Amino acid sequence: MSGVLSYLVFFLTTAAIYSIASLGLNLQWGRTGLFNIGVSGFFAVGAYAYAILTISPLTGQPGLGWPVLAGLLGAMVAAGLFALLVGIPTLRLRDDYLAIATIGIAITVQLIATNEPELTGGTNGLFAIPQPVAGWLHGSGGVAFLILVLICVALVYLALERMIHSPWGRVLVAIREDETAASSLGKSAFSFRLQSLVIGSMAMGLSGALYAAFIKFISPQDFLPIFTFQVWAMLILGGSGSSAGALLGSLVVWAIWTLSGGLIQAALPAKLQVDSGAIQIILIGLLLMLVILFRPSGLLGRKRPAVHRSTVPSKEQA
Amino acid sequence: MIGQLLANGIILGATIALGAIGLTMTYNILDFANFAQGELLTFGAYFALIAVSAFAGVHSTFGALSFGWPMVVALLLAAALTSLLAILVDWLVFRPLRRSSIQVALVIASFGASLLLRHLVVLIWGPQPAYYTTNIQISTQILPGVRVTPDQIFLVALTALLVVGLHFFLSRTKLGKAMRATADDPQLAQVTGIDVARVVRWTWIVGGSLAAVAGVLYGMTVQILPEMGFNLILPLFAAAILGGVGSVYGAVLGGLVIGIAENLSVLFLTPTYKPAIAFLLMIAVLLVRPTGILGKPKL
Amino acid sequence: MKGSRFISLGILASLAAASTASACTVTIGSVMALTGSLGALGQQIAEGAKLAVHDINAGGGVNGCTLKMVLYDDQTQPSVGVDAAKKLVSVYHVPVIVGALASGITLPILTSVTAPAGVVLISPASTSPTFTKLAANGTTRGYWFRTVPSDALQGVAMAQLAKSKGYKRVAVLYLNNAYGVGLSGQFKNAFTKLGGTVTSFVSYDPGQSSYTAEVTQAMANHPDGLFLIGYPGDGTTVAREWISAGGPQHFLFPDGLQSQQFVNDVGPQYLKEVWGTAPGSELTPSLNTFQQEFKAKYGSYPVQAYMTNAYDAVMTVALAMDAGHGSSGLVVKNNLRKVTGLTGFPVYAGASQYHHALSLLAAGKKIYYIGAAGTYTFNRYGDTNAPMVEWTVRGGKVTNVGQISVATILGIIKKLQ
Repeated sequence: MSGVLSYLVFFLTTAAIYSIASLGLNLQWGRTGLFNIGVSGFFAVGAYAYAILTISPLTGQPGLGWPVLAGLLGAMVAAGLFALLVGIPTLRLRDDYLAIATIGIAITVQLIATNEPELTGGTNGLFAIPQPVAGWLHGSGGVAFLILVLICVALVYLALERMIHSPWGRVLVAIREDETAASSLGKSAFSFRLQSLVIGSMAMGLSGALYAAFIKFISPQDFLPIFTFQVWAMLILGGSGSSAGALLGSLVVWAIWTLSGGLIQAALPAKLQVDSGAIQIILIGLLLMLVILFRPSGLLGRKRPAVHRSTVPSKEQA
Repeated sequence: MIGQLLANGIILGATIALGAIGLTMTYNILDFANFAQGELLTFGAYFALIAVSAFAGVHSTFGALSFGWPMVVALLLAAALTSLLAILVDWLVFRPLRRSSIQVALVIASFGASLLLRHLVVLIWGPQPAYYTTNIQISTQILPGVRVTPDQIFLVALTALLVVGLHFFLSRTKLGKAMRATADDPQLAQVTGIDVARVVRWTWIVGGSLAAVAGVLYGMTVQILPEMGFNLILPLFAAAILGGVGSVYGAVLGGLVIGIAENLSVLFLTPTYKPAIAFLLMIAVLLVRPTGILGKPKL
Repeated sequence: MKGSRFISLGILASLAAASTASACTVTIGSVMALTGSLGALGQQIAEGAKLAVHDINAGGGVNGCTLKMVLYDDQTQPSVGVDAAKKLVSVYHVPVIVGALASGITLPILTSVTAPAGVVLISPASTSPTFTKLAANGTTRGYWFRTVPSDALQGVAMAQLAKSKGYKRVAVLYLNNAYGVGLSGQFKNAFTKLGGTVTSFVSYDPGQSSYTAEVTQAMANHPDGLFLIGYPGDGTTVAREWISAGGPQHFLFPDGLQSQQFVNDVGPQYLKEVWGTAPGSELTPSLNTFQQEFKAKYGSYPVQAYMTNAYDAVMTVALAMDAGHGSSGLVVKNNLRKVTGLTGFPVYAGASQYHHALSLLAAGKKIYYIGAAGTYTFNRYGDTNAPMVEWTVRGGKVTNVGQISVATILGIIKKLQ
C-alpha cells in the first residue's frame, strides 16, 4: 500500500474514533441540551475499562484477559455507570450543576488513573492492550481495524438516529426546548435526561475503548481536558443536533488540528512558536464561540425553532 | 501536624471564600454559573504584578509583612482593572445572550470566555509562574506545632474584613438592597423601578474586585500562574454550592469547609487526590441538601 | 572569537566540498514538543538535534548522501504525536524517528507506529522504566533506543551523593508522573540500603491550588533536607513553600531542576546548600565542541538537560547507517551498537570528527562514538548507561562540580543487591 494511503487509513481511524464520542455528545447536547464538559472523563473510563478487561494477566499488569468483545461492551457499561453517578445528583437540579459535575468527574477519573497503579498502571500507563481483528487482512496496514471502527461508527450512528427519531427522541427535544411543558405532559424529564446522558456517555466509552485498542498503550496523559475541547469543536462546527454533522465535524476538525500545528509552526517566528498551542486554542475557541453565538446549528445542523420563554431568564429548577 | 493542616486549610479556605463570594453573587443575581470567574482571579493577580514591577525600585514594607504601599496601589489597580474586564466581557459576550431561550447558553459562553482568557494570559505573560517578590517569608510558630507567615495572617484578616463590609453593603445601602431584590425576583425588581443594568454593572464590580483581591492574595502566598484561576474553579463552585448559591456567608463557610477538608484529607489519602475532595463534597451536598447548607429553597 | 568562528566555518566548508557532492538524500524524522507544556524545553532540544544534522552534512553526509530531518511538533499531546509519527513513517518513509520527549507520548508512538513498522525510535529524553518492560516482552522488536539513562541510575547516584554529603534523614517530594515516580522509588530504595532514612515520601500533582498540605506532610519527622523531584514551574512553587514553611534549607535536586531559571525564581539566597545530579554531560572534548557550536549558531548556550542527548541520538544514527552501508531501520537497529560502546577507535562530536569517523569506517576499523553527553553502551533492551554529574549552586549560579562514573554507580548497584 502506498505511503499516503497508509497514512490516510491511520488518519481516518483516528477521526472515526473521535466521531463516536462526538455522536454521543450530539445526543447529550445537540438533542437534550445537556452541557457535558467532562467528555475526556467518560472517554478515559471506556479506555481503561477496555484495557483492564482485556490485557492478559501474563504481562504482569492489572488485566483480566477477557475477549475483546467483552472488553468493548464492558467499556460501554463502565462509562454508563459513571454517567449515572454524575447524573443522579445533578440532573434534577439546574442545568449548570451538570456542567460543574462533569468537569469534576473528568478530573477525578484522571486522578484515579494516575494514583492507583494496581488498577490502572498509574503514571507508567498500560501497555500490550489487545487489538480486535489484529491479524486479519495481513499486511493491509490496519485496514481491518479501520473497517471494524467504521462498523462501530455505523452501528452507533444508526442506533442513535433511530432513537432520535423515535417518540423518545422527540421527548428529549421537547425537554430541551421547554422543560415545563414536557413535564406537564406527564413525562418525567429527569428520567429522560438521565437516559440521554447515560447512552451518550456509553458512546464516549466505546470511543475510548477503540482508542485504547488502536494505540495499544494508554496513560493518564491521553485524557487531558483538551480532548473535551476537541470533541466539542467537532460537534459544534459539524452541526449540533445532527448526527451527520457530528461525523463531518470530526473529519474536518481533526484535519484542521493535525495540519494547523504544522501551519502555525511554519507561519510563526521561532520566538512565538512556543505559544502557538495557545494561539491555536484561542483561534479555534474564538471560532467556536462565534458559531455558538451566531450560528448555533453549525455547518450541517438543523435550524432550531426560536423559543422565547421570557425576556429575563426564568428560574425554574433552582 | 493536624494543627498545621487546620491552619493551612483556613488560609486556603479564606482565598477560596473571596473568589466564591463573587461567584455566588453573579450566580444569584445574573442567574448563571460563570466559569470565567477563575480567570478574573488570574487577571487580578497579573494586573497587580504589573503595578508591583512598576514600583520595583521602591522599598517599603509594613512591619512584618512582605509588602508595602506599592502593593496597596497594586491591589486597588487590580480590583479596578479586573472589574473593568468583567464588565467588558459581560458587555461583549453575556449581555447579548441574556435574552437567549437556552438557559445553558450563558454557561457555555462563560466556559469559552474562560478558555480564551486563560490562553490570552499565556500569550501575554508566558506559561511560567511568577512571584511578587523573590524574598520568601519564613513562617513563625504561633501555637505549638502551628507555623504561619505574617502575610497569611493578613490574608485571613483582610478576608474577614471584606466579608463584614460586604454584609453591610448588601443589607444597609440602597444599591445593595436593589441587588438582593434583583436576585430574588428580577421581573418584580424591574417593575418596581430598579435600574437592572446598574445592578448588573455593580455585581460585576463587586464580584470582579473580590476576585482580584483573592487572586493577589493567592499570588502572594502561593504563586501566580496562567492556570491559577482555572485550578481553583472547581473549589470555587463547590464552595458556592456547598454554602448555598446566593448566600455570601454560605460561600465563606463553603470556602473554609473545602480548604480545611482538602488539607485534612492528606491524613487519609495521598495528597494528589486533593482536587477530587471539593468535587466529592459537592456531590454529597447535592444529594443530601441540593440548596446547600445556608441556601434558602426557592420556589 | 568571531575570527575563530569564521575559521572553523571555513574548515567545515572545505570538508563539505571535499566530500562527494551528494545528489541523494536520506530523510529521518523527529517528533518533539515544540509547543505545549514541554514546548520551551523542546525547542532547545530540537536545536540540539538540528545541530547534529548540520555537522553530519558538513562532515560528508550519510553514505555520501545529504541527511535531512523532518521535524514535527507533538504539542505535548499523545494523539498529535502519534499522528505525526505515522505521517513520517507512511508519507516520508523515514527509517528512524528521533523523539519523543515525554514518556507518555513516546510510548504510544512506539507501540502503535514505529515498532510494528520496523522503524527505529530513539528518544533523547524519555526516562520511564516502562520502555525496559516493553523491550523485555518483545513489543519493541529491538527498534527502541534511548540516549538518556533510565531513572534507575540517577536514583542510586543521588543516594550516594546525599550520603557522602552527610545527609541521614531526607524528605522526598516528587512530581506524580513517570519521571518522578521512577526516580523517587529508585532513590528511596538505594538511600535506605545505604543506611539513610527517608522521613517522608510525598507525591504532588502539577497545577494544584496549593502545595501547603504536601509540604506540611513532607516536613513531618524532622528531615535534614529535601530531595525535590520535578520541573521548574510547579517545582519552584513547592521549593518556595518549603522554605516559607520553615523547612531546612538543605536541598537535593535532580536533572529536572538543573536550571538557572529555577534558581533565580526560588531565590539564590535560600539555595546556599544544594547538591544535584544530572545524567550525561561527561566532561569530554565532545561537550566542548557542542557548546561552542551551539553558541556560535544560536547565540547563547542554555543550561538545560537533554540537548546533548538529542545531538548524540542523531549522530549515532548517522554513524550506524554509515557502518551498515544502508539507511533502513533494520540497518540502524543492527549497527547502533557497533558504533558505540567502549572499544575501537574513539570519535567525538563535530563535523571534522564525523568526517574522521567516515574514513575510519571506510578503512574497516571499529569505532565508538563519544558524544556530547558521554559514551553509550546500549544493552539488549535499548537502554544505555551514563555517568552522572554532580552540580551545586555557587554564587547564585548552577555549577557542575564533579562526576560519578558509570563504574561507580554500577558498583554501588551491585553492592546493594
